[in-house]
This record gives sequence, structure tokens and C-alpha cells, in this order.
Amino acid sequence: MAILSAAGVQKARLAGLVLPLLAFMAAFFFLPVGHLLMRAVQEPELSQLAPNLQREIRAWDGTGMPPEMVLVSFRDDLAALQRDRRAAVVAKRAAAVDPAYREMIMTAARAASAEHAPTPESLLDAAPLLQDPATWAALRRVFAPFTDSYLLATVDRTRDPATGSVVPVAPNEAIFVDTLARTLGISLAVTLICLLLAYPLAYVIVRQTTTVQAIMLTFVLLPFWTSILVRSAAWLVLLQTHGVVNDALMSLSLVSEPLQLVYSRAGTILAMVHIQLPFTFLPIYSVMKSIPDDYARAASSLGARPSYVFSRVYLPMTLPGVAAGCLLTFILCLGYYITPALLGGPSDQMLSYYVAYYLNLNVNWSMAAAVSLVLLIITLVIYVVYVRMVPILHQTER
Amino acid sequence: MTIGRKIALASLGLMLATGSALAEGITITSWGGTYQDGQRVTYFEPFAAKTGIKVTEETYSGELAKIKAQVDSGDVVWDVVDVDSNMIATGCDEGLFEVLDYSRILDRSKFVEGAATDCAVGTIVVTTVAAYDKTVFPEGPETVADFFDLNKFPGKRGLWKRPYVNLEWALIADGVPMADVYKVLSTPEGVDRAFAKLDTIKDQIVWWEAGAQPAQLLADKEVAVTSAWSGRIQTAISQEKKPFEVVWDAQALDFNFWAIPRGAKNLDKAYAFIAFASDAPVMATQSKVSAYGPTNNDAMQHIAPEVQATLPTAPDHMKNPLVYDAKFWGANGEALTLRFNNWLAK
Repeated sequence: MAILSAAGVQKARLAGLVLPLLAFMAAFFFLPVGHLLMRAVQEPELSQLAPNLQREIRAWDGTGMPPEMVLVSFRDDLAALQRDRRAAVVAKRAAAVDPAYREMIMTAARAASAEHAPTPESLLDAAPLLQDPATWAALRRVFAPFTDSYLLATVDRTRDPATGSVVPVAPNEAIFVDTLARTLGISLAVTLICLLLAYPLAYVIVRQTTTVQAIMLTFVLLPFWTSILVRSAAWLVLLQTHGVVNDALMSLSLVSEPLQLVYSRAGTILAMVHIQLPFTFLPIYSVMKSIPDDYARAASSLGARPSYVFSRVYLPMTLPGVAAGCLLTFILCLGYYITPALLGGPSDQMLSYYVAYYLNLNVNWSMAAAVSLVLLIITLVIYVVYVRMVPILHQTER
Repeated sequence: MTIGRKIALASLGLMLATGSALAEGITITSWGGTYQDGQRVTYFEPFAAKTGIKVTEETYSGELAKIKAQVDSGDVVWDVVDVDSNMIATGCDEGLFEVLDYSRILDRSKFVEGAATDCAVGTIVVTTVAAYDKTVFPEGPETVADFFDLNKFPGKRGLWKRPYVNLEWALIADGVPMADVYKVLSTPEGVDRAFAKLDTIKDQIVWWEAGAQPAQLLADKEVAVTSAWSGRIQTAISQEKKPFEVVWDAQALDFNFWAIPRGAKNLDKAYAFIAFASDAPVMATQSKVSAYGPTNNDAMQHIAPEVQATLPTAPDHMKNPLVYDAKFWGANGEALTLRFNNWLAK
């Protein structure tokens, strides 16, 4: 009993030690991230900007033309917004459904805020699009408490304004499925190349004396101590049309024209491999270090050929390191932004580019949140698959 | 304990001191680089010397989000911001800026047409031009059509990674008269036509994102011809002695503005600064530092003729300008940017 309570005290003390970290994570990570991600399905602004309109239009059943009360609150809320110079915020939300709605809302807002408030009917004349019942059905969806339109947009789908059913967007507006495939493709390519480079390297390094290992490890880890931005910029200097690499190739007469190495997929992948190599290498190295030579020797003494020893004895034992290294690299690659931005062409941009684009330039934070959510979900799925795989890997180890 | 308390008190005092120091001054945000260096000499330091109001500088790259975040949270740190016309076109209607009271600045009629808007007052005439290296093309491109002509002038092209001006130039190069550019661009067929023209040089385009890049791309011979903001090229020519040449045909005339984020804490001082910076003799000194045109009509008479000749507003350069339509882009920017990004990624 006494021992148990002592253990309990010990446990409480340990918990006390990590409590500040947990509080920190909750306050500065989970809460803000969660709050931002909620924007992917919610428009907190609309209910504050046009409270009456939202209440009335949601009370209406959405068929035919809306009743008088909706039109009146539409006029009054827009007039108030226009006087407060906020009407464009609502117009922007509506424009996400159909670009023509921006001008419609702004025209209506200007008319509504005139000195003598117009009748609801004359407002419909000012912006003829408002005479179409489909417009009102679409506006009703804009004011829904939760919306799936941003998440649908991240898979190049939208809701048909008239019927509300999910349909693919116009081909020249479809962008995210391609970008998603590209993000996964680049990440996979970088992961595979890193593995091909890191595995033999780790294999060689573990077989050196301690001193040589320390020196070689320093070289592997050196890039770790330089910022990603600096390294990406350095690659730009090396690879550009009249950069170090091309000048060397030209002066050696190996090529007659400078090669296009920057603003291309090849340049992006090259720089990403350089940055990710230590992340793939270290888990593999640490697993290899923990494998005693005895197993391989035992297998050899029983008559196994070297290739058999490697493929059936050594390789399976290193798989947990391979899986951990590849997982780390793959997940980190999914979020790459600065390297493709500097070294890639426009067709090499990955999903994070659009997070930055919607956040900073377009100021559509809901769309940025939706794209981030997609990235987060992919990462979680991959992680779950990994966690499921680990016991299987350990089985093959035995 | 007493030492700890002393330190706490001292740091509290320090916080109060810096707090009051901030309250005395104003914070002005601009685009960095040689442009902001010029503003420091022309506006910030003389203003502080004249009024005793301390100017704290910040730098950004035109991210409207940074202003929106301050306005939405009600904690507005920036008092004056240097903005471009696209930001005004969307930000003014979204209520991100104060509506200006021109009686506290300068009469509206004193400004170049289009420079005095409801939410922002022009500070410079800035134009997008084409530029090339004379050592590469001794007989360089002279028109926007030449910019798109890969046979006559082979080599890579630098363009801004936004649809603005690119679509207009594509139409002009395709033969659309200057006066009809925005009319054509308002139709779906016109947009298709602009992208089709851009398609003809797409695989030769290097896209730039920051204003300092085009001059660098030209200097590195990464591109043969590039679009650029005229002042940056002019600086490279006059100060760094680069062998660059500007194509003034179809230069896209636009402005940079001073604006006050809505809810700025030092409104009076912000107005005082903008009034100071709009004063003709003060504004005239800006043109010497970076070659942009003044927005105050009276400023020209304070500028030496040899400097005037380098400005976008010099008569020689104004033979065939494209007057950039920020209203068009305010209404269509979102849809066209989506289409543009899409086209880029294909």
C-alpha cells in the first residue's frame, strides 16, 4: 500500500513536470490551430455582419422566391454594412459561389444605402440577378452555419447553384486534385531517392571505427545546422542558367547549351533530397548500429550465401529504421513550401503554396484552412498506417 | 528577493517607457528594399526632424492579410501603410482602411487624375515596363508585340507571377487597340484570347515574385527581356551602371498609395505624415532617389529636367501608355487569378 502511494506520488510529480508543456501546447498550438481549422467549415464573420439576414434567410425553406421579411432584412443589413464599408466582405463570400454575385451584392448594397431606403422590389430591379430564385437559394447556402464548399473546392468539386448537388468544377478552374497528386508524387520521389542514398551510406558508416564514424556523421549532419532558406538559395546560385554547375559543364564542353536546372522539377527534387537526407539517414543508422554481427555470422556459418544473409537476415532487421526514416521524410516533404517556391517552376508548386497564397494574398482564410486540413488529414492517415505497420515489421524482425 | 523585485520593477519601468515612446511616434509600413531606403531619406527622417514625431518602420510585401488581422482584432499597430491599387480596390470596400478626409491632407484637385481615392492617396506614379540588356540586344525590342516575338528576340522572358498587366499586354501584343483592352478582357472570349497569346511564350517564361528580382534576373542573364517596375530598372541603370534599356511602349500606369488602416491609434499623426509627404517640394525629392513620378501636379516644377527625363511621366515615355484599371481588377481579380494560377500549373 505504502509502495503504491509512493509510486502514485512519483507519478504525480512526473505529471507535474510535463504539465507546463501540456498547458503551453494547449494554449499556443491546439487551440489556435483548432480555431483556424474550424474556419474550413464555418464563416464566423457572416453572422456578425448580417445577423438579421442570416436569421431570416435560414428560416425560409429555400423554394421559389423568398418572403418579404428576407428581402427587408437583406436591404437593411446591406445598407448598414455599406455605411460601415463592410459590404464587400459579404460580396466576397457570395462570389465564392459565383463570381457574378460580387457585383450583384455591391450594386444592391449601394442602392440599399441610398438616402431614401428603396422598397425591396426596386432593389431587385437594381440588381436583376436577384430576380432569379436560384440566386436566393444560393445565398441561403452562403449563410448556412456550416459550409462544405471550401472542403469541396479542395477536391475540385462545387455545389451546383440551382440544385445544390455536388458537381465537378469547370476544367480550367480545377487545380487541387492535380496539386495534391503532385505533392504526393514529389514527396514519394524524394523519399525513395533519400532511401536509396541513405541506406548504403548508413551500412558503410556503421562498419567504420568509432573515430571515423564520428567524422562521417559530422559531414552527414552538417547541413542540419544551416537554415532551409539559405540552402535553397544556395542551390539557386549553383543551378541557375549561368551558375556554377552550368558554367563548369560548358567549359568542359560536356554540354553546348546551358541545362535548365532551376525552375524545374529536377531542381526541386534535388534540393529537397539534400535537405531530407539526414532525416532518412539517422533512423536507419541507429537501427543498424543496434544490430549485432552475430546474426549474419550465424547465418553464414550455416551455409547462407551473402546475398541470402542480407535479404533474409539483415534487411528485415533494419526495416523498422527504414520505415521510420521514410515516414519522417515523407511527412516533412508534404509540407514543403520554400524550396519549390525558389527552385521549382509554376507546375512544381505543392499544396503549401496554396495555403500561403490564400492566407497572405487572397485573404481567404477559410480556403487556407481547408487546404491545411487536407494536408493534416493525409499526414494523419499515413501516420495511422505506419503505426499499424510497426508490429508487422517487428514480427519479421523475429 | 529584493533583487528579483528590483529587476521586476526595472523591467516594468522599461516596458512603460517603451510604451510611451511608441505612443509618441507612428509606425509606417512599406515594401522594403531600395524603395523604402528612398522613403526614409525623403519622408521619414525629414518628417521626424520637422515635427518631433518618431517614425518606426516596418516592412511587408503587400500582404493584405496582415492589415486585415490587425483591423479584425481591433489592435492596429500600423498607422500608415504604403499600398498598391489592387489592395485598395478590394480593401476599401471591405472596410480595412479609414476613409480619408482630404481637408486634412491637400485639395483633391492638386493630385494627378486617379491618385486621390476615397481610402488612399497616391504617393508615386509607378509603371510596369519591359526591360532588356543592351549587350544582348543592341537593337532591342521596342513594343509589347516584340516582347512576345520569340523569333525576332529569342530568349527567356521574365513576367510577374500575377495576372495583372500580363493579360493586358498579351491582348495588346495580339493586336487589341489600347483603348479596348479592358473591354475585351471583360468577355470570356477576350480572356481566352489573352491566355492563348501567353501560351505562345509560356515555356520561355521565368516568373518573378518580388520587385527586386527582375533586375537580378537580367543581370544574371537568366532572362533576355523582363517586365519590371520602372524605378527598379532605372536605379540599376543610374546607380549600378547596368547596361539595361527600358521599353516605354504600353507602360502600365499605376500608383502606390498611402493608406491608414481602419482604427489606427495615431490618426492625427498619420494625417500629419500624409499631408507632409504630399507636399510638392517634399515629394519632388523622392524622384531623385528612385525614379518614380510624383502624384502632386505641382511637384514636377521642383524636379530638375535631367531627372524628369528618367521618370515614367516624361512626355517621351507617355506616347502609348496603358492606364491600369484597378476597378476592373477589383471586380474580376479573384476569378482571373484562379484561372491564371490554374493555367500556370498546367
